[in-house]
Amino acid sequence: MALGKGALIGVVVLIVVVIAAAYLVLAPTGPAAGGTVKVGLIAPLTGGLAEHGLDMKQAAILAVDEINEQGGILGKKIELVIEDTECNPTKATAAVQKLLTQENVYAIFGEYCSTVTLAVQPSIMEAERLLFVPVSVATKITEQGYKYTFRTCANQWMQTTQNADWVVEHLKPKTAAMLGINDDYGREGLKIWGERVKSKGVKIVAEEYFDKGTTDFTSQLSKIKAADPDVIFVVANIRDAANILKQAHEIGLYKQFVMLGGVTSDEFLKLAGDDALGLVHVSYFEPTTKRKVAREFVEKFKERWGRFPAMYAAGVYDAFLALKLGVEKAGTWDVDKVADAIRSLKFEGAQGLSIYFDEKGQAQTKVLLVQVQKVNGELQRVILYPPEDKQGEYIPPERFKGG
Amino acid sequence: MIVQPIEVIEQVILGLMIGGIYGIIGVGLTMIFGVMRLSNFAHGEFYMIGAYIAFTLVSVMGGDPYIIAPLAAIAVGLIGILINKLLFKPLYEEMKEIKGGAAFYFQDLRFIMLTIGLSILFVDLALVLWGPIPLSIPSSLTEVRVIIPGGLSFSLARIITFIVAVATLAALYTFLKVTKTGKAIRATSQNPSAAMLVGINTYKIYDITMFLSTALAALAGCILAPIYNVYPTMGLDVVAKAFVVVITGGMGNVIGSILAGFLIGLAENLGGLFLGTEYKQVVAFIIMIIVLWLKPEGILGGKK
Repeated sequence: MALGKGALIGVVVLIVVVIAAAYLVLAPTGPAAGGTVKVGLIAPLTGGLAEHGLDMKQAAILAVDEINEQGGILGKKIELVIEDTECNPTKATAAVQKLLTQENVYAIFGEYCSTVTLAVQPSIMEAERLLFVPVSVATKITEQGYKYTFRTCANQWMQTTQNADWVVEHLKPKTAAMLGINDDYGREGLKIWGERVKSKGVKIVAEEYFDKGTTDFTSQLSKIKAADPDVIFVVANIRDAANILKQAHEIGLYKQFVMLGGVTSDEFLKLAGDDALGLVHVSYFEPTTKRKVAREFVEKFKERWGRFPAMYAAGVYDAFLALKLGVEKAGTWDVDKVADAIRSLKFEGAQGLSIYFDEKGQAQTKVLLVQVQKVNGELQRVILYPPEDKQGEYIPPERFKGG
Repeated sequence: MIVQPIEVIEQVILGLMIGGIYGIIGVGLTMIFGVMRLSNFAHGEFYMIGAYIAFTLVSVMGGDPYIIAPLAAIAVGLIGILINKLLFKPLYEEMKEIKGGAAFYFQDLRFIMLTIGLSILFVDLALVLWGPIPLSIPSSLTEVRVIIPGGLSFSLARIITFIVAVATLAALYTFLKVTKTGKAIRATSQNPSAAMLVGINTYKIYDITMFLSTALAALAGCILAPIYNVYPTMGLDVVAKAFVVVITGGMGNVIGSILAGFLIGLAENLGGLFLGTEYKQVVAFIIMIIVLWLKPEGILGGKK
């Protein structure tokens, strides 16, 4: 293309002007006044996990707007700064540096991926800022003795053992197979679950892994099928989980699948369709719950964004609640006093009746166990456990087969 | 653990089915490499766009993705031609002046960066247009199960996908061997300068190659969409494997890529069966390394 030099310069100038104009129009109004406190959210907003980042972002915006509408915290408005990480530790480190030095945030909320949270955690702790972890489940995050780290969701160990205990108690399997993503999340999940059920007399007959980015699981599933287990435990994100269920049925593997909380979303049900029928999995949060705070959260989220929140949204919302209640209880923004105040909180959040933190900053919450069933012709998660939330009875997979 | 014969048979069938897909994606990449002499790092994105176009067409017009697939493939092929004319051609013309017709463009940093940039652009474009949430394209064929005695079961969709892949590869091979255009493509691949001398319009050949390559990738995306899911980064997940197939088969060699596709699909599954599924990925790369070690030009490298 033969563009004249003048035309080329003209085009460049035009682009710069357009970007500058867009920045002026879209940028938040003015720098932080004396009456605002900045907080940061780090989440995967682009890349393969963007779907989950969207939930985190929308819940954070909702929570911050709500806090500001109620007059802020101790009279100060909250300003939210959102940074994309792509679930990449290097990108996240840069984003956190920006939040700490340029934006001078009081607290950081995030991240989705445990590897990212673990990567950025030391620098946030060193800067003596609060870190609220609403999604990452790696047990290690709250096991390192950091005073300013709080996790508002159950960790990997808590959800995996509660899952294993339910399976042993209610399904009474003799043998089990395990399938997981070949990274720290999958390996830790399979190890905890495997040890827990083995200690209760269940035999593990297959342990298979798949790499990130795998779309075809038939070779793993074919091996599991040959081992003929009573129950199959899978650690995977929603995309992989939907494929695993579809492909299992394709090769004629109809067994009871159990999974962790990562698959709790309506998008997963849409993706997996009828192949999800019968699946039992952990859920941190159900929009159908009867609990008051949770109901209000679901309605507000739906009104604002036009869709139901996934469970990651609830964890983020609870993290903002913890910040607000903690600062108000401390009566000051002094970070040490606020950290102490949060440790002594007990509050009703979107995820559950009473959320409180242990001395490590880990929220003590009970997870739900749900089964995907058809209610009035539509796929729904039906709460099986705990008894006080129970919505229906467990249905064995044989009854779903072929229909 | 004792491996039952039926398990081996099942893994072999599944491996060959996946191999057909590796082949069809790899062939497109290798053609661009052989004829246009550039490494198209955005190849996986044409696979992704094909699936998204099929999704959009199915949601607007209805119908089955397997019937829509050729339409989506042609649409993506036209996008391929457009990119060739708008972005690649100016670079070709500039380089031809300096290096002559037989220049090896894949060594040129501008082409590498341009295709990497295109890849990022397309992924983000899909994110904006269709959103981050994975989509599935329903097809009645995924529900139909073909049950083979001995406890084997496959969905009709997967079998059709395999047949389409093999038929397409056969048609492509015939096209390249028999037709005049096919011969011109092969001539350009062997020696662009000589091809130009005998009156072949190499720019037109580049357009056709780009069309075929991107349309094949899109076709693979469409026929796989009902079995897998559709999401913005799906192309990135296949492109690494496509490069392994192309390098193993001999860069620029169509038959080599087809063979390498089946070889790697088969080896991955048998490796997974006997070594453990966590080593599946490793097996593919080990095969590539062994082939490069014994025969650096690839299985069928050197021949066109």
